[in-house]
Amino acid sequence: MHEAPLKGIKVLDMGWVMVGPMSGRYLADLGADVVKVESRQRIDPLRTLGPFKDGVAGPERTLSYHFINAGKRSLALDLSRQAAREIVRTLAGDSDVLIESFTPGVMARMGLDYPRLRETNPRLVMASTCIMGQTGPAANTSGVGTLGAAYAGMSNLMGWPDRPPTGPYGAWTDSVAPRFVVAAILAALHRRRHTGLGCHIDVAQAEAGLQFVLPAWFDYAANGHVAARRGGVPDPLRAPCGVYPCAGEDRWVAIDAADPAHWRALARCLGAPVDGPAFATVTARLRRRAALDEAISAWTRLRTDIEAEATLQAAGVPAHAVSHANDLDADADLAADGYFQQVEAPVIGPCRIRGAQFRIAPAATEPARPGPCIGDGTDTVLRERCGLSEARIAELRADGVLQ
Amino acid sequence: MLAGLSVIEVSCPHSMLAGQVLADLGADVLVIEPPGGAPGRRLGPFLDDRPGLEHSLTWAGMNRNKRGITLDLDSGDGLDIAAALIERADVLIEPAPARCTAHDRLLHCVLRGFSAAGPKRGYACTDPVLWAATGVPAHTGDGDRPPLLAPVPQPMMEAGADAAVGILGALAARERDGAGQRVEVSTRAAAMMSALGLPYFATANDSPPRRGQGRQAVPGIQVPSVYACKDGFVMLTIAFAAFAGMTERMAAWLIRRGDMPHAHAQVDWANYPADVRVGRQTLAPLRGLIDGLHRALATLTKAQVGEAAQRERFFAAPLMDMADIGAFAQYRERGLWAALPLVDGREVAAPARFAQFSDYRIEQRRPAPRLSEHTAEVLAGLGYSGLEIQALFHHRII
Repeated sequence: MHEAPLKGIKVLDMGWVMVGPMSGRYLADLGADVVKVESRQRIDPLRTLGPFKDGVAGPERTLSYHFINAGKRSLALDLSRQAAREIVRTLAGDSDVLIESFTPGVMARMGLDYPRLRETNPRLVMASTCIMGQTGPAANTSGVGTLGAAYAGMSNLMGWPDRPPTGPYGAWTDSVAPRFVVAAILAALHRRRHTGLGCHIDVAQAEAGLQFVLPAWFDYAANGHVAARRGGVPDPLRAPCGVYPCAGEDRWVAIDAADPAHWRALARCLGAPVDGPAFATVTARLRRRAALDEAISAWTRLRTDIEAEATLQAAGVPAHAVSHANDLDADADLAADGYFQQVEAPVIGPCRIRGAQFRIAPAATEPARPGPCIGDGTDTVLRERCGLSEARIAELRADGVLQ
Repeated sequence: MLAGLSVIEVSCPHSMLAGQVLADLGADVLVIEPPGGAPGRRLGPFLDDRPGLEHSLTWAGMNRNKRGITLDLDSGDGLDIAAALIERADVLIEPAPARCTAHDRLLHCVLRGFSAAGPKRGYACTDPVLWAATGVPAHTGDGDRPPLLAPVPQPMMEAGADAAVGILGALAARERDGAGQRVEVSTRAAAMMSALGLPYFATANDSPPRRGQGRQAVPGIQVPSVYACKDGFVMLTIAFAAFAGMTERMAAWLIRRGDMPHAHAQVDWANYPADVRVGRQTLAPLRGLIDGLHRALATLTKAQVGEAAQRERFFAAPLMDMADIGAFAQYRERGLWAALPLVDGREVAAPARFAQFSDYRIEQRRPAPRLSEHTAEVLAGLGYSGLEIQALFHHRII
């Protein structure tokens, strides 16, 4: 019987909203015991954001919270209280990993900065992540992933050349940065197995975002070209390549048949309108991009996105419907891959949560699980990890330290 | 961090970031390319806008700290050499379908497009097509224009980054159990990370906002998030509920500047949307805030807005272009950049330090390999003679 890779690893997740908790979720998927520290009074803002199960708002009903915190236990503390900070210090003393995503300086003001935590636990791997990083003149900038995208250059790149930028979807760096946080944590745990020593990791979310636009950066650094918005042309070296209108309201299919073999396959599907010398060569297709796109659109408009995708893929042309959010839930390929799994959450009942981002075998990743209810692990964590008695726990609860 | 970890990367666009993250963290990464060069070498932009196998800046920027050899994996000799290299390696990264044979301690990472066994497993795919399948483009861009694809390939970044994480997770299992592991990454599934909460609207019996429309937190008013300023655009978040403090400080700043009427000084921004809904509040304060922002921002540069947001503690950021990023004191003073030598001898700044450690520093140890740069030394290390190496070249195997 093979256990998940991080079975037995204890993680204290002091992150909130997305980057920190998403990093914690990767570790939970890998089998770590992740305790999320949160509070009922100062609620994790993610619990106030939708989408909510059945459209009914409530802190235990947020599907975003569930998928980003899947498989964790929740420890509800009022961190403004000294006794709560003592509990965190005790837990950090026997944790392997601590993740926090506060504005720089907040952990130090609570007496929970790395130099102090290391004194009692030199094996601790602590990861701090914020928009700009822990150092530098702009370190204390507050922000969310939309602002990280702005500082990483991604927002300015997304949009139409004749209009203001639209930016990427949502809080973009919240999806990018966790990979770098987790890779750094796992590398540090690897080194610890040999040296016995942990370390402090500092990931600036804006800098992590820059890793995903490296080609645009080097075009500037080496060539002096400041990349501009390109609208419907994802790659100026490729034609045809883009999205084409289909039958129905706001339905589109993405086609990339720029490689000559793919083009020949597409041309066979389209027939007469693209026959002849007008589109016969790569350069002809690049020079007549607009006419080419129009000829393809005339064909796609007569079909639904699904029909276009099926016909083109059957002919070997790279094509896929431009999936809307709600199409993903019904996507047969994701279903076959077990991407979404049915779970039972305490308050909202059945819902679908994605599994791990990758498969590992034979040491399997954990199946999808719901996120915790606020404070559902408070008593067990305090008993098992801090050695507190029932009486002491009751006292702390009466005192408002636990909430 | 990963000193002593030996990685073989059969190069494809989706492997490049995975190999680079591992190499930056100290692993010894060897790239295998076909004799004609890896696909990544034909990805633009190109140095001085001149194409060439040594000119791809995407290649240069995503293969630092690796060594590289060429090998025809369709030949018997090529497969023998690959097997000998893999025998000595801890990690193998390759695109699906896997062609290399694993040994029983190997961490074998396979990158595919769609599912392993579902109806789209055989789909022809490129990055724009995979991106369309994530749900992201349908919800990106302007409402009256087509969905927007990314101008820099994103699925290859997403898959590469997740592969690095999966490999390091598998490494923990091998250290404990001694057993090799297989890591499977679906590029489409990896890239769906950027869809964030989008896939969950179906379970909510809800639909996400249409492309180009922000969430209507306050009924009857579209709150813009991108504003024009003196020298470009800035992004600005007007938040309520848990983040209302940001909005309070933003309003206070505007009132102090004289760009927003004093009458709106006492607005309860935390409960503002609910107050509007029940008629306890009008739209006037929010309109005043938005108008005030337009007025104030028109007089400020991107950089000044960034400074104001940092000083006054509200959510705003300059929409930086690459020149702004190059000039940004924060990145420079923090030590993000490492000097990357290009093929023409020039050095450019590479944002190498995606993470900083209390006792480890990501260094630029070597530039991206030239085509076949390390073939002879690697083959000699495997015991091939000079004559044999020449013969392998003569027969187009290397």
